[in-house]
Amino acid sequence: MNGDQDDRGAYVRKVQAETHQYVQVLLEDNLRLRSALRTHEERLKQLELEVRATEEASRQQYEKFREVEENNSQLANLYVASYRLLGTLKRSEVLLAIQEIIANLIGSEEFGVYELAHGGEALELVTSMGTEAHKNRTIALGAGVIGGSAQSRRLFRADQGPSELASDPGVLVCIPLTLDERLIGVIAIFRLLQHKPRLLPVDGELFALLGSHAAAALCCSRLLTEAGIS
Amino acid sequence: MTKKVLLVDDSNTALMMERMILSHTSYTLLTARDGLDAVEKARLEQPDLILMDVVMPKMNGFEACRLLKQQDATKSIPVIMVTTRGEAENVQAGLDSGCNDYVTKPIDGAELMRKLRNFLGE
Repeated sequence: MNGDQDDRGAYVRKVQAETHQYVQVLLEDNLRLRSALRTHEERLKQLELEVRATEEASRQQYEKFREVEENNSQLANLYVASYRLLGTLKRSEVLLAIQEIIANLIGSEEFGVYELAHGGEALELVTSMGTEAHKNRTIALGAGVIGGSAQSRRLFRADQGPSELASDPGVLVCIPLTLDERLIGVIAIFRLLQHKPRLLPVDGELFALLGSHAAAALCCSRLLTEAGIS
Repeated sequence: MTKKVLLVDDSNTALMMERMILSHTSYTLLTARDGLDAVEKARLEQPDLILMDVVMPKMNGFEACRLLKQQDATKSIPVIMVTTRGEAENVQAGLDSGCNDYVTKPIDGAELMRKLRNFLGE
């Protein structure tokens, strides 16, 4: 009897010891795993920060790429316009080049190109697209927004708010054409193509280029025509 | 093999602009100045894609596209209309004539490249 009790006691103590040992192992594993988990969580946070930084850098690179692409597009427009205007001395070709630049690069099929005539007192329509320009084929210098823009040699843009020039709801842009500050003529744009809701930064650049290059081209071609050369 | 793109426009300015946009690609660029010329060049050169203006002398872009799509030799060549008329009815007229897509003028270079690559499988 006592032997049985001793055996059972030893067995219980053995089980207790083994259980205790097992629990210790489990606790140690638990601590180890918790530590590994913490390490992985920190690594994950670090990677998430790196991913966000990479995404931000990628977004910034894309923005820069878009900017460069935009700049290239603007330069291409200006190069083509410049090449076309200065690539000919024939008056008909110069007028065609101006028409094509406004239609294809700016995006308008309602415009008129006027040259200074009548002893410098008025502007005469020399080429146009659409019907608006034909409403006033001759415009006195200083009259209305077209005559006013020409006389003042100042660019007029209806999208840039009120102007000292008399406003005319039918006129969107007036580009005075000047050579060495001499007025050669003016380009009036009445309307953009229907699918183009507003003027873009590149259009402003084209207006500046037209203001000088178209003036030079028109002036040279007229002189050559008058001299009987072209 | 280098892909061939046929540029069709009666405007030197538009053609020059299209050439500038495509200058950094490896495409061989051909040109035609009106719809009739375009149909003939397409038949002879078998381009991989045609960029077609709409308003042109002798034969406009819609008529040229219709003709191209009727001929066995050219009906499978994709045609992208390049037009100043972006209104819905004009776009529909272009699609009705058989064109595969369209871009409006002034041309957005990035949009044009995207569409070209889409059709040329790049």
